[in-house]
Amino acid sequence: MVPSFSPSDTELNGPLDIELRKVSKSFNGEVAVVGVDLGIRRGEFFSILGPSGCGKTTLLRLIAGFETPTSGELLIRKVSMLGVPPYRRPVNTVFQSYALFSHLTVEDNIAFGLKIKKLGRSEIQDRTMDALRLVKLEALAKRFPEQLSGGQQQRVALARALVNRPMVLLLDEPLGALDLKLRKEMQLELKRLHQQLDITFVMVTHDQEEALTMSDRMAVMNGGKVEQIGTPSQIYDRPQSQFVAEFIGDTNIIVGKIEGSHPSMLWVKCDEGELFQVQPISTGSKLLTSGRVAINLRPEKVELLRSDPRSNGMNLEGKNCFEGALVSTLYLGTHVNCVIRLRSGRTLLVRQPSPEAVSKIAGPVYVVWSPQDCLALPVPG
Amino acid sequence: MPSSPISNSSQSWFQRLEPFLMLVPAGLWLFLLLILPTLLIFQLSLVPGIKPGDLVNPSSLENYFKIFEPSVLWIILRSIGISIVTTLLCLILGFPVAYWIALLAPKRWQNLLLLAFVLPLWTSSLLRAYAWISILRPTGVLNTILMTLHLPTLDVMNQLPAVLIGMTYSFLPYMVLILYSSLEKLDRRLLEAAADLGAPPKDVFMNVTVPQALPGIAAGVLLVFINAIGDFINPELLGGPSSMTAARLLYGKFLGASPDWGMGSALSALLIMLVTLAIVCLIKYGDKNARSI
Repeated sequence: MVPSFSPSDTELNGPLDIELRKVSKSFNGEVAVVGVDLGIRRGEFFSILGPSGCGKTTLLRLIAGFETPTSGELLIRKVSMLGVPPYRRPVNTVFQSYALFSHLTVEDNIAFGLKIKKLGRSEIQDRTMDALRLVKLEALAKRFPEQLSGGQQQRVALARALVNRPMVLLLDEPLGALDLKLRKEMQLELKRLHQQLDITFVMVTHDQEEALTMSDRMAVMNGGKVEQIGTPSQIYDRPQSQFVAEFIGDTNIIVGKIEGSHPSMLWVKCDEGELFQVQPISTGSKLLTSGRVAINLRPEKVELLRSDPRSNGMNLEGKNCFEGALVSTLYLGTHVNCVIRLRSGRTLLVRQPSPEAVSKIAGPVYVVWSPQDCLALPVPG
Repeated sequence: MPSSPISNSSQSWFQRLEPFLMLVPAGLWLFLLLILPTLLIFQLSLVPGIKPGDLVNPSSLENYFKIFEPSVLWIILRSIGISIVTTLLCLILGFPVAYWIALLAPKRWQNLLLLAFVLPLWTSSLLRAYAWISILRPTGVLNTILMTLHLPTLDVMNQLPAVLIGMTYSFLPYMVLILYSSLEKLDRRLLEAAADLGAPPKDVFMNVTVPQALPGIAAGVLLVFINAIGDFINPELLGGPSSMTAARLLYGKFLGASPDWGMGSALSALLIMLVTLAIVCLIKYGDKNARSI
């Protein structure tokens, strides 16, 4: 069986809140977003992930209405947003810098949207209090933003957006300015709010770990294009391009040429000379059977042995097995990354659970992995 | 080395004194030309009579009582009124200009546009007042144009409108400069945030732009008001006898036909207190605002 996947067919899984159809945006001839097709489902936590300058923030600003597409169509709940200014869109944004009004108290910041809508005084009061409770800031209602810590300002920004009960909440690198511990806390907080409120969340981030842990689905962007859309596990386990594989998590990328193919196996001759066995997968519609490929091998998929498995009578049928030497180790708390140099001179990153597993290694080591655990991806260009 | 500790201590002595030494030139200047004369004026204001240096007369508040005679009080109130109107005119005319230069005009044109607005400050205020005379007088540029267009002519010369025109023209650049520097610092992301929260442009302006620019507005208002209340040239040259102001009265009391230095000093003291009060109010108010910025 060949496992296959196609770009997520969003229409099959509930109604769409946001639809982008061939959306492009350029600034004075400089292209920021190119031909993006994207559907974001109602109620999901959707992340847009990519390196800086990949167009992810522009994409969010297009949805919010701060930018207008150069071409293409943008719909929110089936309504075209062409010519609809930001203040008439059913979305609210949590800005990267929070953009809190320095001349207003926390309370007045949160009530801003409600006051603009000219709601009744008691309703404004009630909803503002609810929003304050939601982000646990009741005690700080009368403070000014500059009297708050970064994390508290972040909560005010969240409350200020959520109090308007938007159909979609847009978050532009919401946790980027916080330190690691606070960021972890706010990640949980955001997840809690998402579950509690049942609003569609669209978050832009450059932090792949954040995107993986928080999202229902995510899009990986590069150079203004969407490289891949899928669930975190689809993105991590089945990247469709070398860029996605390298951007998400640690990985080994091994470039080679397909020497032979079989419906259930590819033989790839690497540039350094080794022959790898790789299970073929279809990327999009076409099955790779020839040409140059980049093999994506995750460090945690590789088994590290201290003695030659062949002499131990281990069945290596259909597996990849190479001899090498331990070059260095990187202790990362939860695990250890080992750099192994193969006979061919290639280095492989291999993950081990603990420092004890790799201590006192002196002689040759053996790396073993199954063809199913690595992926052959088309080489870009 | 025995000299080492000595030179060390002298160095630290110099370092401690350095900030004060740097204040000496300006401090001396301020003391001799501002603080001392002001004290002299206060002293003089307590001396009834006309002769300078005639300190034999007993001190009394007689000069201050003279200020509260209706004729003098009217002049002071008129001065305050003219200054308030001038300040408001400068604010109303200056805000859109400053807003446009700071937020809408192309970045590379900003300095040039500001320069164009500040250019009038490079000519003497006397010259500018005379220029206005030649424009506003009955047979001046304005009325010549109106006549050729067969429109009714305006008789504003030597009237209050001429004073207001002259003063507004004189002080508008200050207002524009201060408002510009305030608006230029305006965080545009706040404008986006307000729009994102549902505010149409009018509401964004009233609820974000104006409050954020408030310290600048306060500073501009203060500066123009202080300048306006002390302005002598514009009322004197454009106003005629009907628009007597405190500054003109003051001039008369010192250098006019019937000098009364004592009363002039009392008037000066009152104006100084008035301006100080305005500054104190605005500092207090501005401070409250600065806390949230």
